Amino acid sequence: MSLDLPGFRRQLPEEIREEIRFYLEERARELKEQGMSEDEAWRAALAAFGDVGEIEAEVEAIALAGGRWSLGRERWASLARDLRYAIRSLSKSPGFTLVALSTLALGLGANTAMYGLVHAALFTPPPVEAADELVAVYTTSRRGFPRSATSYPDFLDYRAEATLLEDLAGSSTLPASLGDDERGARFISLLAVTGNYFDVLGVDARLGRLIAPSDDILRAGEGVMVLSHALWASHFLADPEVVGSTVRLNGESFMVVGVTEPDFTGLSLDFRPDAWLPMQSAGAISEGAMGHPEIWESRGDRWMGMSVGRMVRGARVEQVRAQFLQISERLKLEWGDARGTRDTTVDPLASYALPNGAEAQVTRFVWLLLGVVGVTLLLACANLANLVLARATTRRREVAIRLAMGAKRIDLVRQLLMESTLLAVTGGLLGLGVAVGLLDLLGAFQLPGGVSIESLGAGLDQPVLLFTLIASVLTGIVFGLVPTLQASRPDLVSSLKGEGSTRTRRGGNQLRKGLVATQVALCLVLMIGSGLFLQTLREGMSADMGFDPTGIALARVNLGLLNYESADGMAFLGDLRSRLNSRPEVLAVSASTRVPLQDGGARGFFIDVPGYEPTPDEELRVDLVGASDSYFESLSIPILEGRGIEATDVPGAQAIAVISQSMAARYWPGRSALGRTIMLGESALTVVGVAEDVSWQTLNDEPTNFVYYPLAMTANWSTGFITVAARSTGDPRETMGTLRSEITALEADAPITSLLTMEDQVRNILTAQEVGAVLLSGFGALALLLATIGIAGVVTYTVRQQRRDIGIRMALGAKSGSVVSEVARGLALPVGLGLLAGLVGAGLLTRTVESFLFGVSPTDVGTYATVTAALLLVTVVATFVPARRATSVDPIEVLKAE
Amino acid sequence: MSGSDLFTGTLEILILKTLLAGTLHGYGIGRRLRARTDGVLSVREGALYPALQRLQTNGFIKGAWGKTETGRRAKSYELTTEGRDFLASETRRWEQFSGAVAEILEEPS
Repeated sequence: MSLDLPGFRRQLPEEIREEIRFYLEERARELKEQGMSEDEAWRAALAAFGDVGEIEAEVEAIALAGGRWSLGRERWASLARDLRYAIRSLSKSPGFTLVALSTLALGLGANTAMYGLVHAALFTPPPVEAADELVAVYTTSRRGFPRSATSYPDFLDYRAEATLLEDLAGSSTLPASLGDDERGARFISLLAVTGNYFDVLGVDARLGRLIAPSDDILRAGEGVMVLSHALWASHFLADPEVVGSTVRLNGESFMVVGVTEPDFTGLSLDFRPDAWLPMQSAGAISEGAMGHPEIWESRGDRWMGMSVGRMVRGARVEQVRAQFLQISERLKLEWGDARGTRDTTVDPLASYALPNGAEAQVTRFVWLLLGVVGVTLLLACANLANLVLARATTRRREVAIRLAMGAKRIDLVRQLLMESTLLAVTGGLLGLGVAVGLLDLLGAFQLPGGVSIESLGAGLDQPVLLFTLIASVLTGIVFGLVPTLQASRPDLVSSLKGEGSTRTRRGGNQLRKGLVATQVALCLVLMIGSGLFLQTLREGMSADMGFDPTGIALARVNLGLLNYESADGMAFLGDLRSRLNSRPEVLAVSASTRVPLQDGGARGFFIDVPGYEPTPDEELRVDLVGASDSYFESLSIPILEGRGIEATDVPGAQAIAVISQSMAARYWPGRSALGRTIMLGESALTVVGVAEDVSWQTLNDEPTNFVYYPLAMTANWSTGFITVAARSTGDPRETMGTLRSEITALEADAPITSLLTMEDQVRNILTAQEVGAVLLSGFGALALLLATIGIAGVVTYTVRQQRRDIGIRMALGAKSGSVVSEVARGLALPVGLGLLAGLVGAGLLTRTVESFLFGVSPTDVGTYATVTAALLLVTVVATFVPARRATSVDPIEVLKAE
Repeated sequence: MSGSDLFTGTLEILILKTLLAGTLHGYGIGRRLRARTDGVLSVREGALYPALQRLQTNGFIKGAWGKTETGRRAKSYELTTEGRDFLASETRRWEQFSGAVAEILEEPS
């Protein structure tokens, strides 16, 4: 086992060995001449010589250090010697080494992976020039939501008046159908940006050029666009000829002028633009709000998302924030109600912008993940500390001899620490592989706010590797230090005499019991956590969402992107539905502006309810869903009273509405809502039906006031986002295929923005809980295993230590049962304390996960009781089995051995 | 384990002293030390080799492989000039030190 260090002659170890062999031969010969047998002589020579390996290592270390009596060098050399010593002593106990390394690889690997996630999500700057100089600017909503949209005139004022910013660039997202003659249609996400956008960010093009200020002028037919590297690679198959060619966005021609660098994926975690285009030309392709000329003038039309500013040299975010507040104060006074009492929000953009509205959720969730694996690592540390302690105790004689020979305690401590650090660092290295695998596995999941873990691109970056190194060394010190200090303070006399008896070990036993308590506590916290998440997942899958998600396939299309007129849109939807209805397996088909648990599509409206007296501050606000006939049937939403929407609800017929149960209960408590009137603007709608409350956004939605209105009567909605829902008797996945083929049969270019089953949609809502459940139960199981091993180890060890006492007592007639129960009594206190601490800890910690739980309280008594009972059972088994086995030894044998 | 420590250099000094008499291999040095001192090597005879290495590294002795009278390959050591100088200065240092100790011990209290 030679260390290959520079300046070290390889033949040296061979020479040293030869010299020592010569010495030993001569010495043995000398002893033989004094009358010993060959065997005795050799044994005596070896015994007098000391540990051959250790001496060899010492000589090598001195040779390595070289030069004059140099303290520094010798210190390094002695480290190298400790290292060799550690390697040798670890390779002597492969079982221990294997257990320790795999535990450490798992623990450190999981921590590396989770820190990688935290790092990618929270601390990685977007690849722009000096991200720490950038700020994100938003206008608040009237209600005070901090990151709301900005109007174009406000943006211009911000840009002109913010002297602490070198420049401010604006952006707005919009979807579009991308098409050309060669490749067919595709739905993409665009970011419309002011001409200075890329200059402010300081990013470069991979191919061609990016958008320049001179592009941001409205000139029909001369629009330009920049492709993301991902879109260029996937849709255009990385064809460099694409730059300079013309493509169609919603039917309008645009010239591709460039492709971004592959690592530039926008500035937000949850929004990765497929392409960028100048803001002015965005108006030309947008049928929605941006298509109207007044949007450039009106303070009330707020449609711009995040604006990005670059601070002047030396400016601080707080100063910029203060300046923006001044600007918005002035605008408030100048524009009054036309603008509303809005403020501004200025955030640093040193890392990617988190999903709007879910910032806290994302942050809390990634830290939660890191916390979980951190606890597991601590648990592993406790276990390893126990193992090291046990090993160190069996090495008491070695330690005692070396102390007696004048070895300094600090040298011994250093040597034992070297061993644990070596283990931890090796474990950390192996853990890198575990981390890569784990990140790969997690890639399929999403964080809250719809951030796909895969898109984070979390990997083993330099800071992550540094984290692993630090975590490894700390781990080594944590699990090595306590038992090491313990082991290096042995009672010299009794150790040398080989007494393996009880009294002197009290300190070690206390420590061991403390470790058991710690393990039980940590394990309980993890298990309760995983219990709560599993419960949430189960509740979620069987939750009363107000409808039955089985058998439903959903396709979302946007016909407005193809410049469909309202009438064409309705005709398309009518054709599509009748084609689908003609299929025998399809039970019901509907088209609507929104289905339950779908992102976006909410349209809030204020209503009047004749006969209802609102309280002074009460807003009569409802969400409006445009729905075709068969809507409730296709989504299995029960109609509680009256009827649903029918094919006869068309323009010209009576204006009707179906309302949600909670809305009926709010405005007409205790009475039937049927036949009542709701005023929606100028229109009077007659309530003809009451539908069950359904979950719209999350599974634990508060029931909201919903009004379902015939889609046919709001024909212009048919050119926005429309979801076609088909419920069938067969597998909804097959129905998905049918949906796709029928849609493209009618309109080859139709941009289908999503296609999935309702059950998948429910599952998407639960992804955060799913990741939590998977991880927590995985680590909960690992923790349980570690704790079991730990407890069983302590029991075995305690019993073995007290073998002589036990042997004597059993020889004197004690029953093995009473011995076992005494061992168990010794552990009752630490286990009890551990359980108590675990319960208290879980009670405190699970509050932090409350927002991820659904249908179960963070202090759910059932979960706590079940998990505690399970853990108690495991500890009992882990105590009694090894204790009984250890006491079943023949007492005579035991005493003889002593 | 540095040379300025009061006693840790003892074994090295004794080796140098032994080699004053002439070239010896490791086993030979060990045998003389066992014969002439009481217990320098009693705990661990192998301690001889780190000490030899340390002296070699510092250039106080030099080793060469040769044959013993029985024809066995062995490495023998001899003093270098630096080694002689070092031994002389350490001997002086030791005399001064032991003199000082003796003075203190012999002072009438």
